[in-house]
Amino acid sequence: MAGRWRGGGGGGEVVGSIYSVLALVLILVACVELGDAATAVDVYRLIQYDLSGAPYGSRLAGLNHHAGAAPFAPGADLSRTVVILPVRELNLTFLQEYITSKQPLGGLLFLLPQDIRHKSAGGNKSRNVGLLRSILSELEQLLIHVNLPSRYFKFLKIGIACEMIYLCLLIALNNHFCWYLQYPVYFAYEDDKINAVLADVRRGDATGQPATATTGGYKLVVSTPEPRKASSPTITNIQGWLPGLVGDGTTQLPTIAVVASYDTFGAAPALSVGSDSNGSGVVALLEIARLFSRLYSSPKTRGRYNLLFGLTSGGPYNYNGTMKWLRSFDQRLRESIEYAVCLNSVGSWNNELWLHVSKPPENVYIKQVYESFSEVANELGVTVGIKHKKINISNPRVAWEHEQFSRVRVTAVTLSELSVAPELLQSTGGLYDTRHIVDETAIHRSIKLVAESLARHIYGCEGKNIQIFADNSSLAVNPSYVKSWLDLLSRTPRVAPFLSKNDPIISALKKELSDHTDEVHLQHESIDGMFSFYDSTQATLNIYQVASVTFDLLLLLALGSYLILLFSFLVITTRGLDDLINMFRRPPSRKAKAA
Amino acid sequence: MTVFHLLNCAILTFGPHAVYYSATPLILVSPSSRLLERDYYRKPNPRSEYDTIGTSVKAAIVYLGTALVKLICLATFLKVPENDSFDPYQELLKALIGFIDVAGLYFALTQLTHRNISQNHKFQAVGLGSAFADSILHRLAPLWVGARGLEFTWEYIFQGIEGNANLVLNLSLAALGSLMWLRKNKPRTLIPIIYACAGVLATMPSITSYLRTLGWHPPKLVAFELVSSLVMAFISWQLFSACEVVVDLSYFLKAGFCFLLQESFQKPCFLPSFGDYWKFCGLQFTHQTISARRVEWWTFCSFMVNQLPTADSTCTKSFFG
Repeated sequence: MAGRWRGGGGGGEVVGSIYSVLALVLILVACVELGDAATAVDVYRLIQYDLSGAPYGSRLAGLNHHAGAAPFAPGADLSRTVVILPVRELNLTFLQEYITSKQPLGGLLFLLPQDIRHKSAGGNKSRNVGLLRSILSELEQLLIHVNLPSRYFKFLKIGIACEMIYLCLLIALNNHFCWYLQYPVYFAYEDDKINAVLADVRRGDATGQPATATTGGYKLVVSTPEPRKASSPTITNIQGWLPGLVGDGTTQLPTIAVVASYDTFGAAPALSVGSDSNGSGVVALLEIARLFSRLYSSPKTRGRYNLLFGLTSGGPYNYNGTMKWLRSFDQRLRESIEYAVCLNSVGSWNNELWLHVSKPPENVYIKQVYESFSEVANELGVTVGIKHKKINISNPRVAWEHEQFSRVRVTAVTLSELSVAPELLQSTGGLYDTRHIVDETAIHRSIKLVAESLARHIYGCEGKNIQIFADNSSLAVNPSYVKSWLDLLSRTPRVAPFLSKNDPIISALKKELSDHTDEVHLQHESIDGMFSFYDSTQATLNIYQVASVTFDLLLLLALGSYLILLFSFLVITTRGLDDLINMFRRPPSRKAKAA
Repeated sequence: MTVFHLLNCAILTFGPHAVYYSATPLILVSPSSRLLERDYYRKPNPRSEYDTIGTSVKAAIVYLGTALVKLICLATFLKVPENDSFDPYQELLKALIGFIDVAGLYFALTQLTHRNISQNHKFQAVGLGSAFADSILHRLAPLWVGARGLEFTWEYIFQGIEGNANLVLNLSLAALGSLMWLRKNKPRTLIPIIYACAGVLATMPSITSYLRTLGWHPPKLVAFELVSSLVMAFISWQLFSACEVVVDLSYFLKAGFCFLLQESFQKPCFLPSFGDYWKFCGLQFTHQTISARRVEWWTFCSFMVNQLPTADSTCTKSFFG
């Protein structure tokens, strides 16, 4: 019998290799695959940007924590929980307290209702709609947060030394005025799956305890690489030139400019489609360009004014792009511009538009423009009010596009439905600004207003009862053109740092302008160093239903007892009870047996 | 933890095979069993030598071969269904192809060389081998790929329970197979029952897949499989032990000796009838598989009982009666 085990010495090598194979298998097994999740949802990240070095927005992108839902027990530790908050039932004060007290949180997931995605038919939901709008705008401001009082901005233009002081001030006041979020924040649209998950989480939380690794529940995982700074973001200005009829003589023809900024900024850059601000302005500009190109196509109807159409970028950042565009003009062109009309948010007004000016209304040119507009407005049955806002040269904040024109001494007005100047990064196409708040007839009326007043000025028919762009004529406003462009713009998020030089929307706008105008130029610039942005705007959220560790341990216990029972049963039935008992008794020593 | 879950499900799926091997006498007669040294009081049966592991491995390879043949047949003869309706012709074809399994079992039981294992251990080794191969082929890959994910599903636990039921099924089928093909003399009345039970066992996989297409929920399906396999195992156990009556001459002689021993203490007024003798044999042999010791113990008990004073002279009859 001893000879049987002689082969054991050579088995040492075998044992060693078995151990290495086992180790390899264990390593392979431990690579946990994030396989098919129960639910996968598209989520959009909160914007992350730096303003003169100060961080804003959410600084993290990766997410891997358990889900939790309000209401929470006071003092609950949420540092490893992702809080799911449906926006409809949002408690802003709770959120504000939580953010300002800088408590750690695993992550935030906001659920946006589906109605802001699709056009809602009923007007009887107007109260809810208004409430939702205010909640969303407040939420956006809270999350983006540029709440510095504007007087701090005045240092920006003065040399580097003061900027250092300014930065020190910023850092010192960081805790009080501005805050950023050290956890990932995502937005998602509500749908059945995620609502079911939320209901489950609420039910689980009703037992009192937020879900952790030992109690099971849902785990939310977003696996994206860490966000990197977008290197040198570019802004692209598109201009189209429609020359007028050069008559006898070589006198320079005067120019009228129609300008609109096409880019947006919002809390979730992948959702900032900016249908009203400023998609409506872009659509109006394109339609005006189309109408005038029809007028100018034949020399008999060509006017004696050049028309300059400008689609500028960098709108939310103090109209940076417009400034650079204007600086690129040569002197003669700039002096030939008689006046410029800037369009900003003309998509959701009822009866009243505003003409914003920086020169006093008594100014001759302003008066002329205003009168031509109000004449047409009266015919259309709407009113145009005039609002005067003085420019403060030392204040770098540019609230309206026409102010950039005024700074280079060009007469300009802005036509807008907004009556008050928006603050920095406000009304630039946020979460609420989607297709459903835009009214196409409002855009039609704006187009008619602007086109008619421009044409009357060009052809000198003020005071005469002539309608150039009458309905049911060949020069009528084309509703399907307006609709299709509006739909396209409402599907395309247009945050400038994330638009590359040859982004499809820029090419589309360029092509459209080149159809209507003679010469089209693109101008690529970079945003002023004040702003820097980080990428990673969209991701996929995987929701896994996980079992707790206690469940696994219980299962192991059950399996162990099952196998032991099976073993005993088999031994008893095939070998006898004595064998089972004898298995656990030590055999008596050989000496005793030999004896 | 997901690796934990994988471990749990692997234990559930493959544990019973290992437990079966180590708990039954299969391990006692396997080549490298250490227990042979320790088990000093129990002499290994000289007829069952050291080939159970080899038998299991060979049976596993045969199962692999039959799986490949079944795949080829399915691919060749079945049409891809256009709609989900139940096509009886296709289902019949699938059931027929399932009989290839039985052919493989026949091959494993009869054609492979087994170095002198008793029939008892032969069918167990073959059944275990083919059940283990079945588990590896059908359940290992889904377990590896799926159970490691974060998402928790009951699927793999149900799969493990199915694997257990499959083990029981394979063992019963092997038992009936060995009855059908390896045992030459069986009681005439039992033969049709044996073939019927074997037929039911062979079609059990088709029945299960049919029920799955009917839309049974997994817990119900798994419970059905478990219950049906346990019932069929019990029936085949009874059949197997009933057929063991006609067994080797040595047991026959041993039983005869015990009976005579007992009868010698009887009052000589009564001569045992042949029927009584057979009944006695039958009762002895039902417990034959448990241990040889039990036969002596049973004889002793019956002897002692018979020594009790009774008025009836035919005490044997009343004891068995």
